[in-house]
Amino acid sequence: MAVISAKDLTVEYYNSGFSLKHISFSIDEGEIVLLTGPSGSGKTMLLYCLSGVIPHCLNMRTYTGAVYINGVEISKTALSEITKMLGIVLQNPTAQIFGRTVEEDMAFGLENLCVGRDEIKRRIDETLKLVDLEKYRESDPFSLSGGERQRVAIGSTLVMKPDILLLDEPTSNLDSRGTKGVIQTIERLKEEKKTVVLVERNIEHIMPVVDRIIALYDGEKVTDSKPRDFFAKQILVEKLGVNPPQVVRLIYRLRAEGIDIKELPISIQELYCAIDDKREWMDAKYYQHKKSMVQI
Amino acid sequence: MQNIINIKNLWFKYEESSPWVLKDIDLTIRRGEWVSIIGQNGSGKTTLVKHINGLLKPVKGDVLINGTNTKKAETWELARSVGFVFQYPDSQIFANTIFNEVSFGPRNLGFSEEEIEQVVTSSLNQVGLHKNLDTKPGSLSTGEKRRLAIADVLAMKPDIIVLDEPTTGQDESTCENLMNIVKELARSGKTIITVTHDMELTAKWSDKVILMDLGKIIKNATPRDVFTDFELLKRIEIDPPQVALLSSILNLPRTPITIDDTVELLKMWISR
Repeated sequence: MAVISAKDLTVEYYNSGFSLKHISFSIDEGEIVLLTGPSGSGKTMLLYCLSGVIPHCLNMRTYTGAVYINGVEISKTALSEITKMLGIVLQNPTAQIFGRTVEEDMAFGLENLCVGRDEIKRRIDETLKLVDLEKYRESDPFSLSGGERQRVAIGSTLVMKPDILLLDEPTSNLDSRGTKGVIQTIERLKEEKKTVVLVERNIEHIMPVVDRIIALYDGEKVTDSKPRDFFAKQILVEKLGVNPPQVVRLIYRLRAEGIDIKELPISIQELYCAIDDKREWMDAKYYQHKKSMVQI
Repeated sequence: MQNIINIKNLWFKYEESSPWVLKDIDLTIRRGEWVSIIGQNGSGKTTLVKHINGLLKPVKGDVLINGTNTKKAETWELARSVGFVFQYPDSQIFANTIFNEVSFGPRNLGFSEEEIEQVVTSSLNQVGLHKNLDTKPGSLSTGEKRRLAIADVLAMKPDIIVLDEPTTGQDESTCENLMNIVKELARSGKTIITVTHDMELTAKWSDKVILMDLGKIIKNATPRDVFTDFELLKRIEIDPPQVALLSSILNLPRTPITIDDTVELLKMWISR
C-alpha cells in the first residue's frame, strides 16, 4: 500500500526561480527509497514537499499537484497532524538541536504531545540504544562531535515513532563507525516496516539497504528504478553526477577497457560472490582461454 | 622541500578539568604537500587543524607556521598564511552577494579594489562557480555554497589551505573538478590539508595520510602504506577503499587503492 505519493507536483520558489516539475511517484510501506541527483536538482526541495515544510512553512510562487501521506493531502492538513506520521532529519543537525542535554532534546517532542513521564523515559532509553548514544544522555549536544550530533537529531526524530522517516544526507558528516550505526538503524526500521526516504551521496555505504532509487535532474524525475537497474544506465548515472559504489565504477572502467561484465555487481560482497562463482561474470576477450591458468 | 608546518609535542584540552583531546602530537608538513587527516569522529582531527590556523593555541608544546609560533601570532596574522574551509559552508558564508562574500577576506587583508575584483573573479572561476556576482549566497545549493566557501579562501591567497570534509555536498564530477583544482594549487606550492572521512579521496589525491585515534597520530605514511595496513584499519573500524579488498581474493601482486591502479592490475592478472 502506498504510504507516500506525489501526483504531478510542480513547485517553484520565489526569487530563485528554482522548481520541481510534474513529479509523480508512490512509495509503499516499508520501502527504503533513495533520492539522488546532482547539486541543485531538487532533492532537498522534494524532501521538504514530502515533509509538509513546503507549503506549510515556506511560501511558494507555485504549488500545484499534490503530496499524499497515508492518503491525506498534506497541503490541506495541519503540520501538527503531519508530524505525527513522519519525521524529518535535516542535513545540518545543528539546525534542529536545541536541548541543553541529549535527553532534553529527545524529550521535547514527546512532552509537547503530553506523553507520560514513564513512557518518555522508556522511549528515550530505547532510542539512545538504537542510535548508540547511551553514554551521552546527560551531555550537552553541542559538546559532541558532528557525527554524534547527527545521531542526536536522528534520535530526537525516531523517539516520536514516526511511520515515515525522511533523512537529508544522514551519513554525510559521519565517520565509518557512525555510518554503520545509521545503516544498522535504517535496517532495523525496515524490519519494523517503517518507510524511509533519504537523500544521500554516500551511496556506496547505504546501498545494501536501499530498495529503490528515484533520480532528479533540473527539478524533473528522470528515473525510478531498482539500484542494479539504475547503475546499469551508465550514461544517465554519469549525467546525474551520482557517485556510484566504487565497485560499480570499477566495472564501468573495465568495460571501457574492453573487459565486458555480464552481471553488474553493486557491492563488494556481490563482487566476491561473482568471483567465487568461478568468475563466469567476467567475459574478458582475452581471459576465457586462460581461465584454467588462474589460481585464486 | 621546506617544512611549512612544524608541530612539536602538542597537547591540548578544551578545559582544565576535561580530558586531553590531543596527546603529544609531533608533525611536520612540507610546502606543496597534500596531506589528509583521517580518523573516527572525536579522534582529534578538527582540533588539530584548528591549531594550524591559530583558532586554538596549544596547552603544551608548539605549533610553527612558516616559522612563526602560533602562540605569538594573532589569528588574523595567521589568516594570511592559512585559509580554512569549514565543514559546513553555512558557518562561513554570511554576505548578501557572492561578490561581497568573496571580497570580504582580501578587503580585510588590505588588497586594492582592482586586486579585489581580479581575485574574486579568478577565485570563482577556479571553483567553477559561474554566477552573477549579485547572486545571493542563500539561493545556492549546498554544493555551490561549498565551492563558494572555497573561493572565499582562495581569494586571500594563503600558503596553506585546510579543507574540512571538502567532498560533502558535492557530486562526483564537481568533486573531481574541485580536487583537480586543489591538486593544481598543491603543484603551485600551496600546502593542502584535508580532514575527511572520504577514503577514496584520501587514497587518490593525498601525498601523505595522517591517521588519528583518541587524540594521537597512530600512522603517518603514504596512502598505500595506510590502506594496506588492514589490521590497523580494522582495529579502529576504518574501511579502506572497496578495491583494496580485492587483492586478497584475486591474489594480486600488490594491493590496489584506486580504480586506476585496480584496472591496471586486473588487466595484468587477466592476461597472465
